[in-house]
Amino acid sequence: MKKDVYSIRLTPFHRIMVITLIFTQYILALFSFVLFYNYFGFPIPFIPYPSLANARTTHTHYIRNILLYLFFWAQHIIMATLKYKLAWVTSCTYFALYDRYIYNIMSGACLWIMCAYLEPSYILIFSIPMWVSLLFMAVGIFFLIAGSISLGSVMMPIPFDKIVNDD
Amino acid sequence: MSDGIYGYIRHPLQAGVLFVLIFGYYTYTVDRLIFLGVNILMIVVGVLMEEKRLCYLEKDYPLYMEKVKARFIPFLI
Repeated sequence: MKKDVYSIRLTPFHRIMVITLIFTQYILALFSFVLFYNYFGFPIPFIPYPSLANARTTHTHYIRNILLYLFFWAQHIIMATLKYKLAWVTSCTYFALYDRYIYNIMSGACLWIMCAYLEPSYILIFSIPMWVSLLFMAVGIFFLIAGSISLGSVMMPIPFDKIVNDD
Repeated sequence: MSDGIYGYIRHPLQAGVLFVLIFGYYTYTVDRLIFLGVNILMIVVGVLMEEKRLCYLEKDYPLYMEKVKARFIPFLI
């Protein structure tokens, strides 16, 4: 018989694990986003990884770069499928509790790997005024902040105060 | 789910990522265009798949799609 509802109890071990994973995902997200922005946006000083903006070579590594982009997207797509989640939950019920954090941590790790191994070249096609770039980037950041505020804790499997306080 | 910016566009987070990726820097090299091509394609395909899944799982989602027509830019697309 197919089981649709899974009951899990938050033991002290699981509470500690969840809080650890929450902090790990935020720290990793911060680092990996800085590396990613350094790659596609304005280069950040002292970051030893490559950047599209200040690539020095015209030697191309298109296939290698495309494979790294696809590696990142494959992780995102596979780990988001219902089939993958059900396969884990049926063998380990507590996976439902950790799924979101494992997904975020794996995404951060894959982003880090991608940024470390990309090898961009510099063959200029066209450019736009810098103010246009900054203006539309600000619009994008506004959408991200407004979307996150509206979404609230929808993406959290269990609210943080419940993990810390409730039985 | 039509509070705040979700009352104007259905995918504000993906729209934000697209804006930041496309306008992240002011020079466009061959590598940047490939980077944009792959990432825009994956985000758009992801959004279409997500909408299909939400229509299947949430009975109110088609009504929300009727109410909020724009996916990424308010009143446009």
